[in-house]
Amino acid sequence: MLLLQNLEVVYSDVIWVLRGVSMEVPERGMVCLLGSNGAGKSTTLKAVSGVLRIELGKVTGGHIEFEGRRIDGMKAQDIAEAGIIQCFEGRRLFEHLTTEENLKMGGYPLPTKAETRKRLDMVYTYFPKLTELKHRISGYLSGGEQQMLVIGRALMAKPKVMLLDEPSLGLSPMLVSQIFKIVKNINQEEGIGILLVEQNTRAALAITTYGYVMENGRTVLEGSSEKLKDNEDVREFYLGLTRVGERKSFRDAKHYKRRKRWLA
Amino acid sequence: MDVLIQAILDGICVGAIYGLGAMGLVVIQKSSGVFNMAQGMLMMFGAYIAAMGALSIGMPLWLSVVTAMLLSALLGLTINFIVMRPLAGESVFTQLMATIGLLSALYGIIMAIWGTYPYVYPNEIIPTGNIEIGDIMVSATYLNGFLLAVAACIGLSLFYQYSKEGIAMRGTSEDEELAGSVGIRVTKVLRLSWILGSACAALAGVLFGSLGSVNYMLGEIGLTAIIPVVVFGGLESFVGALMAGLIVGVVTMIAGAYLEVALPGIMPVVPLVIMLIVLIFKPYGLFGEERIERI
Repeated sequence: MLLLQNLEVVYSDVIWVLRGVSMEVPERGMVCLLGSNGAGKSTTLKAVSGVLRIELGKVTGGHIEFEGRRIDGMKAQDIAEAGIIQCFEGRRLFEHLTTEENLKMGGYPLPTKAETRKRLDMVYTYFPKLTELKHRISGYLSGGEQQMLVIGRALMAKPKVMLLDEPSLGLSPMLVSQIFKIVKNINQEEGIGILLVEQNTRAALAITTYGYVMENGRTVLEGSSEKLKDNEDVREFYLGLTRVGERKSFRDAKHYKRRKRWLA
Repeated sequence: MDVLIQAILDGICVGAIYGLGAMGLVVIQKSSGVFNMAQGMLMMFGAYIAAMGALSIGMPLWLSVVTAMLLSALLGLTINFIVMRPLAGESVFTQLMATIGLLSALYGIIMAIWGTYPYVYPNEIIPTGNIEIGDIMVSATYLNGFLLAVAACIGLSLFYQYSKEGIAMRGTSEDEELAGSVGIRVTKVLRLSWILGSACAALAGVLFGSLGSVNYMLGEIGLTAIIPVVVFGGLESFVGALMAGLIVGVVTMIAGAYLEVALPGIMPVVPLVIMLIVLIFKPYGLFGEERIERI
């Protein structure tokens, strides 16, 4: 359904961020995109949802296809109407609007008020916490509530694919598992494809079926989440486990740099 | 005592016109995040167009006012296209500087077209006639201004608070990128905000012009009165703009009635002094939104 092939993205005409990214999100698929900071994960999502222009970025090679159509030149508004919605990194909201107003903005492309009402009710069933917070200014919500609002807002627009950029950022582990469970429900019950960018590799691989690993602007590894969990490189680089499954200690790695310091 | 009541009534009506001028600025601020320093010039443009329509062409006054609003809206659209759109994504400060440049440019153009000759409107926009209660008189012009200002305030506030387009405009002014990614037509929102803000300015300009005459001094009102009114009323609030306008109007009139003798020329200074005092106690203005920052 969503296909990226050899995507290349450049910022400000000089910074070459994506150097050949290929991935696919099948219909009703649940795919994760892993990688350390600076690998280009957020840029990949922004290229898909069409907001690169405001950050002076441009797709300079490869292409992005959605349901058979090329979308890499399209404006963000049109891509959103086509069914691709992104939840930006860092819980980006309209902070001075209330919770319900934020959700209504999510439902902006919906044609009638009745439909907006129906979608609102659906979002409130997935996130009951938001019902109590309907008229609170969204800038004052806690981190977890804001993350729920962001995902709820994405749901409003009847997306076919949701791009989630690091939803677990700064949240407690319990809240992370709660939110990830809801995301899994959304994928299974509504049939919405999910592309999940995460640093929390463990949690991401637990709920997704397929994964891609990026480094320095390229996809370097892909496979089913089961295989990735057992993959040696993934285990060493992202899960911090050695070949025998023990936590690696920094002490072993750089012993020659440590020096006894009580010598005056 | 009569002097005081007359001053207060005059002040309320004049203040409402200040409020209307301020509301045009709030429209542009609320939808695009740009503080339009050139608002006074848009007001002056509207006033002169209406004067030209009524006096040179001989249209009925209400038609001239409507024409002025339409042509001002067109001017606003042109400004948006030529000046603001190329600066999209730049810092708010850059956009502010652009409006300051626009201020000078428009002042020059208007002076070049119409010169320094004062124009006087032939009659009232809404013929309500003067109201007299004893020694106290409320002129029709003042009453017009008050009614139009209150109507505009209510209309605009309801639009921005409850309608889908209004909420979209508030969202766009906060985060253009996010608004685009949600499906809001950002270019349409910005165009609409400049059209609405300019039309409001034109109406306010005509009302100001009908207080005395339409002349080159009108441009100064933009800087010395409208901008302080917006600043201390709260940048995003229509009710704030109206309230602030009323306060400025009443205090100016009272100062004019009692202090003009002792301190000549005090009236234009009043709005700035009030702004200073209010900002000390309420830095976001009387009805302004507090900026939310997560620590």
